Amino acid sequence: MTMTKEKKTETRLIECLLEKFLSGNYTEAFIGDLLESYEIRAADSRISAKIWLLFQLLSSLFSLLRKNIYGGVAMFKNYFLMAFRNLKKHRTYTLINVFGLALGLSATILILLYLQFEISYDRFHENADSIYRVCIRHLREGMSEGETHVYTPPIGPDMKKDFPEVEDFVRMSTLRVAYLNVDNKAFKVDRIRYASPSLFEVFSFKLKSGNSRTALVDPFSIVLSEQTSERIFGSKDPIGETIQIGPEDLYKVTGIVENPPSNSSIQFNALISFETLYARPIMRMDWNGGNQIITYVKLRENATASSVEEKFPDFLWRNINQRIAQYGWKNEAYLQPLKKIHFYYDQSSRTALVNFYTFSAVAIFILLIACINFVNLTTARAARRAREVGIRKVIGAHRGNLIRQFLGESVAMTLLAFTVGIGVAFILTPTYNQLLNKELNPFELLNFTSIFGLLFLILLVGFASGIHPAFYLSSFQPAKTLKGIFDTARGNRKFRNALVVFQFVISVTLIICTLLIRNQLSYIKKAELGYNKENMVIIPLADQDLRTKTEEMRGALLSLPGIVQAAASSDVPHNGFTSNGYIPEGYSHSIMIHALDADEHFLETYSIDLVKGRNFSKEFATDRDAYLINETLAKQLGWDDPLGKTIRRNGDRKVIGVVKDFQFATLHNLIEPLLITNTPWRKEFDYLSIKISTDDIPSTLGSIEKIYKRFSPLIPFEYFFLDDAFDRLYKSEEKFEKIFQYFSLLAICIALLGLFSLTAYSAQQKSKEIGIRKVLGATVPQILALFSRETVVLIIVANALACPVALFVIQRWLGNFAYRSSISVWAFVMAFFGSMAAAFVTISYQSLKAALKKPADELRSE
Amino acid sequence: MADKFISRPEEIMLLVVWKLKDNAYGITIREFIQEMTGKYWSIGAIYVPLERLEKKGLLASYNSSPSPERGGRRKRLFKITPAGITELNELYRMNSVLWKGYPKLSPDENK
Repeated sequence: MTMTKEKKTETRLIECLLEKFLSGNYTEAFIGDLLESYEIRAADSRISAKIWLLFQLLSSLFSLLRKNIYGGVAMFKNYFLMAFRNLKKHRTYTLINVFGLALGLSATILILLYLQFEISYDRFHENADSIYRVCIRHLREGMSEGETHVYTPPIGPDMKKDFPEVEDFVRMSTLRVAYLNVDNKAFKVDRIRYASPSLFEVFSFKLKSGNSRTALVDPFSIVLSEQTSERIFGSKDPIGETIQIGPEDLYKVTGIVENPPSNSSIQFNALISFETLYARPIMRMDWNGGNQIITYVKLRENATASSVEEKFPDFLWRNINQRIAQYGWKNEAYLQPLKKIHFYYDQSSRTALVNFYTFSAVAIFILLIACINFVNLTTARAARRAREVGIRKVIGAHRGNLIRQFLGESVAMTLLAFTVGIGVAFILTPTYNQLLNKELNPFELLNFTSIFGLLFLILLVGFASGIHPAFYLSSFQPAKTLKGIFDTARGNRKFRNALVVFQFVISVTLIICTLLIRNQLSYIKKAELGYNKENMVIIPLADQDLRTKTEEMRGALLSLPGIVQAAASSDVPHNGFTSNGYIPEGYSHSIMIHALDADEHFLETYSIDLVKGRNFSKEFATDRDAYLINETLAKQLGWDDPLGKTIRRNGDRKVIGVVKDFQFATLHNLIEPLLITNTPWRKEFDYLSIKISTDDIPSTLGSIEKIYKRFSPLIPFEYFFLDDAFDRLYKSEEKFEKIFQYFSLLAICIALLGLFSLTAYSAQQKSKEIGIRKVLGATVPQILALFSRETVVLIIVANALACPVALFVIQRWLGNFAYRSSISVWAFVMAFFGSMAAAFVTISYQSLKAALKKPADELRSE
Repeated sequence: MADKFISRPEEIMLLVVWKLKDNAYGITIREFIQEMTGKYWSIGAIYVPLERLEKKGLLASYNSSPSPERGGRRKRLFKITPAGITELNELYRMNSVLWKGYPKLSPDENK
């Protein structure tokens, strides 16, 4: 007996396996034979017996399984045939089902493309996992005064010196714009960066020509992107060519770099060697230096970010904090992983993340709507398949067989829809790219993970839409269905209705949101800004000649007929001004205030009112050292009479006037404290704002250009209208709104498609009822009412449920804006009537067809 | 006699079962065949011709009582039926007629 027991544990697994797999007369004998032979062998050597057993198992299985598999294939073939016949027989349903699902899937694929692109940000760098960006938090009296990754130059080299974890660092300046002069021709190039030579080693930007080790080593070296090189030099090889920037500096072209991919958070058109900054300093290069440098570090393989971050307090104390602590300031630092920058630490991260989640949700909802169509159509048509189910059961199908059959059908259907969907997605990609302003490539989905993901998606959609019908259909009792007693169960209809309501809740919510987003965007465009942005031509003063002769040029421009007023300033209001720390009178610490440098014509040019005091004036020499402040600043400082008070930064200066609040930043923010000085930093202004009259704008622009050419013969004339620049600020939101609009339209289309076929089905079912009603004297409108009653109720319920959902969603979105339009009731009313009308039109075709049929035709048979 | 010829493995199997008399089951059949033919047969593979023969009514099978060395499983013992005997006789007659006058040839002879 003991032997038996021991043996059992050894071979039990195999026995179980065989018993599961094999079915047939000889199973028991076969397993018995195996075990007996095993025992005989095991007497010699247990291990070799085991190997033998395994081998036997494998070699015998095939011949025994063949029969079973063959049976399965035959059954599968039958399922396939039945599915195919069913699809063919009911072409309209198939078409609607497949088409709806295909539309939903193509939308999902498009959204997936976008999501994949967003996720792929910065992942193309080989070292992406070990690269971090250094971020600094400024604290005053323990309170955060803001974070920035733009900091002083020495932090990178000092970190490498002090931290063994840091393998390498890359320093990069913020983006610059410059005119590149080649052979007396000037090319305006934006997105120029100063960068360390290690850039090509740490990041995976590839040089097309030039030596990646030396390209950025010498001062006055410049590396052009392919695009820039082509713009300036055409097809000529530019290596070794000389480019002049500014009045005297000559740069040598040392390389051409591939354009940074669009999914890179680091963008540039040209790179200038970092050494250049030491050779010709435009800022201080020590720890007190200008905060204009972005530092990336590459950590050693086994180092963690937290081990570096632990050492930051000591490191920063030695280098900076011990000197600024006496003013109550302190810097803290942490590392931002490169791969997370796009979603968490970028300027547009908030939008990117919101868009990412919104579109994910939209994709899921659209798919859900399409799946629901499938569920509803299949269960509604259950009666047609009840006989098949009955016969199958009588012949001996288990419920499991039937469930497998129906699930297989829905997966097959999904596969079909998917094929169509992917075709549609491919066709739509160019349009979609235009909308998104991105370069998404559908072929990027052809990698292992994506294909796996898509297959999973197909299975998921197939199962999601097939699971309910499968269980429902397979539950029929053969005795009843074969007798012809088939109850279109009330419960089931309720379930269908619930699903229809769900579909419409989603689509109505999407519609309300679209309307409200649009409402907000137009509100912003018309919002009262406190200054006049119409007919304002802005000329950036890029050229040194223009900067030194700004005053003269203004005089010349004012003599032209179409020009109302002109003013020079350091910036123009639309996307915010820089801010600095100032110490107002009566304060012991500094506060952050936005600053604008403007001449005495600025207020008049922009129609900004003075509330108190006076404007700058040439007559008072002291005005060079005076401030105008805005109402918000006066209020924040608690100054009822600010005139004559002083604010300190490089010496005390008097406030001589208060201007009415105007919105100099985007409407995402409230108006912030502002002061205006009369003297520009570095003695020169950066922009000339010209207010022109509305008549004959082209000729006015022409004469402005003539004057411009007189002052700056070399640099091409460049200008923009302030209201255009203003509109551009909300481009990303408009783009979002537009895409959102298309997807919500799609959602409701798919939902309507479902409604259409449901109506078709119920019209067919009720054909006898309608016939009898007509014979008894019912009119066409009465019959139409019969059909619409239920739908109307469903739509009303859906709208009632959608309103709070939409309200919740839109309020969160509006949270992005400091200036919000009131949520208009109209959006809700429009969505209600819109959905009602659409639903009504959808059902009217089928119901009219049914109502207009001659009762004789309907009642003749049977 | 069956309408169709039986296959070569079936023929061998039929003979073996007849030769083994009362002790014809999976293991003995397999050992016997391997000895006689010198070819390898897996345990599962022998059941395929056996099953066909049983279907044709040339063999009958019954289960023995369970035995401990087989993990408490029964043997499937096979026995030749009268129809099987007839079939064997017919096969023998046919084979001897067909093979009559056949000398042992060397492979080169057909040149």
